[in-house]
Amino acid sequence: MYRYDEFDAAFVRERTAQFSDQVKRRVAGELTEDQFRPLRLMNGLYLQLHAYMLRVAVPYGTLNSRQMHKLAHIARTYDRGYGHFTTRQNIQYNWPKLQDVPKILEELAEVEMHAIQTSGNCIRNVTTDQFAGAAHDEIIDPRPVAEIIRQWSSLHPEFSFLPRKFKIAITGAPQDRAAVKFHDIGLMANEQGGQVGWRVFVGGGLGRTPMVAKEINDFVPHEDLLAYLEAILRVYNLHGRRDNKYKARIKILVHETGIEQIREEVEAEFAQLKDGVLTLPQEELDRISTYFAAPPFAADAEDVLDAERHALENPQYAKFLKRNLFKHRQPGYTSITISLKSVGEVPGDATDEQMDAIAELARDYSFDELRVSHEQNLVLPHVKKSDVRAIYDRLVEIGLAEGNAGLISDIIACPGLDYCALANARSIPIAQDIAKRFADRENEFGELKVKISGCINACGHHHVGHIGVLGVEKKGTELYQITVGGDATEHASVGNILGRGVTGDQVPDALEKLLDVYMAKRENADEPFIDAFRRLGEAPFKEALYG
Amino acid sequence: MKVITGNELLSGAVVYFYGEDRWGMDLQQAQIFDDKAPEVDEILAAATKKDKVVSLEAIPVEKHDNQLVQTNRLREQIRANGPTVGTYGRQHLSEADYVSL
Repeated sequence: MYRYDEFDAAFVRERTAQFSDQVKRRVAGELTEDQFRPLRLMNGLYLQLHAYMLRVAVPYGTLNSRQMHKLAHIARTYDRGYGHFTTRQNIQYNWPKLQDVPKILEELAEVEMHAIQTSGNCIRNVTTDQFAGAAHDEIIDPRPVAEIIRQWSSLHPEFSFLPRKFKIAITGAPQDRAAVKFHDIGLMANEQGGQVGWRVFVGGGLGRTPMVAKEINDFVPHEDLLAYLEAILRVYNLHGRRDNKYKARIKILVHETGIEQIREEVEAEFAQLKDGVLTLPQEELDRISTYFAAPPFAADAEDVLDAERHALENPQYAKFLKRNLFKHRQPGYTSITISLKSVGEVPGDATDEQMDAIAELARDYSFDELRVSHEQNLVLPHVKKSDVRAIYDRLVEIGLAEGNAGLISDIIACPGLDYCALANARSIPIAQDIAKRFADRENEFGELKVKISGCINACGHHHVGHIGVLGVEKKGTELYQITVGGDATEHASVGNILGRGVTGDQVPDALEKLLDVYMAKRENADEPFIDAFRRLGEAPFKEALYG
Repeated sequence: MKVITGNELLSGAVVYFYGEDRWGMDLQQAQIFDDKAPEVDEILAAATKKDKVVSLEAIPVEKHDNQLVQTNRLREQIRANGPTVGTYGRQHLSEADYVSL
């Protein structure tokens, strides 16, 4: 894992001291709310419906046990004993008080964490594959490059006041688990002639205008990547619309200008920047990569999981083995998804006690490493297969042993109207109702991504749910639009709206109708919902829902 | 009918204008204004200037059986009662030792 150098530590300390002073001045009345708001937002502090909300960055979703213990401590000491893991691989606290925030930031700095660039029109926290450095299918571990992008983008003077926020995602594997095609810039590792570089996608996004990113370059070598990213940002910063916040993201610029012209302008800018100060020396990449070196795996780790026997003895454990383990690159090891989607609970929430217990599991069984996934789960990336049962037993004790990764109850849901000042409708109760309704049948449906947003800003990624649910408000009533056919992977697609919205209590019924069509018409039990939808088209699903 | 509401600066708690420069958490004690009462804008302007309650707005309410009830906006019901999930209730002014009102 990356460790702060002197510069990083000083930078975060200074920023914390600055914000502490800004809070004092605000409380003393020396700063107005209008003056203070942009300052607090630059430090991840929002004001939501009930209280302030602090968003803490988890760079590329990677944590160690000390950091997770600190997050638990903050939840316990300054909040209400829980935190909410987000689709940006961050964590949010829903109840901090203004004057506690500088103390929270000081505590975070002690473990090399902060809340910088988790808000505002800047380059946000870089996200990546939750199995980075562990996945069997990886071409390259994307974390060293993600860390270099973090360093390049942190307080970048030219890009601190962009037309709008800017999100970058990166994956080192051909199977995209980081939704890179729905980011402002998406990077996918690519191998050409024995050299590894990056396919660059630009102009993806969700929100009120969902768009799949377009490929702007099929191969950018490591050494040129920062210069190429800077060229894209410069073109965006120059031409991105500042007159209308709903048209200010780069996706609109790419859509209105056309990818060919954008590419031309980026290439022209890149020609100016190439071979300059942004060229990444191999020695620097190697230096950063040492922080992410593979842990000392045991060469003789037993490569066996006796799933059939477990299926007979303990069906819940068998389900966990089937759903929550991901194939590791190292024989004898696996990655474990810790589902934060226990049926009936709030998606993405973890209590302080759960966070402490998970930190201990990471320390004892996963080389002190943890990941946050964009699907709002946690991951133990490097676990010996022979340790899986002990981990499962501990997860049972803390109520996080649900074997539902990738199933219908593994729902992404934004905080919705229960917390969020922007939301129009609630998301969490809808997620809970769906999970409860289908918990007993979810194995039958197989892989099925349900995603719920409480407004068109789409923090719950509903556009890319195999089944998406979007909450709207109409004449004071919450209504929910159902979309089908979205996909956040390398086969990226935006879901189709099937028709008029339904009320909240009708949502599980609506999903049941869609699932009945799928179960009746799928070619066989191995055909996933999304494949069946693509083969069948929307007509039978629409017919089932609306007649 | 309207009441004036916002979030208290230090705790972020939802508060309502009680009248005479007093604010508190109980909607039932909020001062009620006619829809076109000119003093609403004056109170909002004064509160904005004082800057101890933020995210200020006047919200419509209805009164039934001598109880205030919100309009059909669920958002305001949730602000008044806390999230509909979990057992967290509302943020309370008393939780912060340093109430700014």
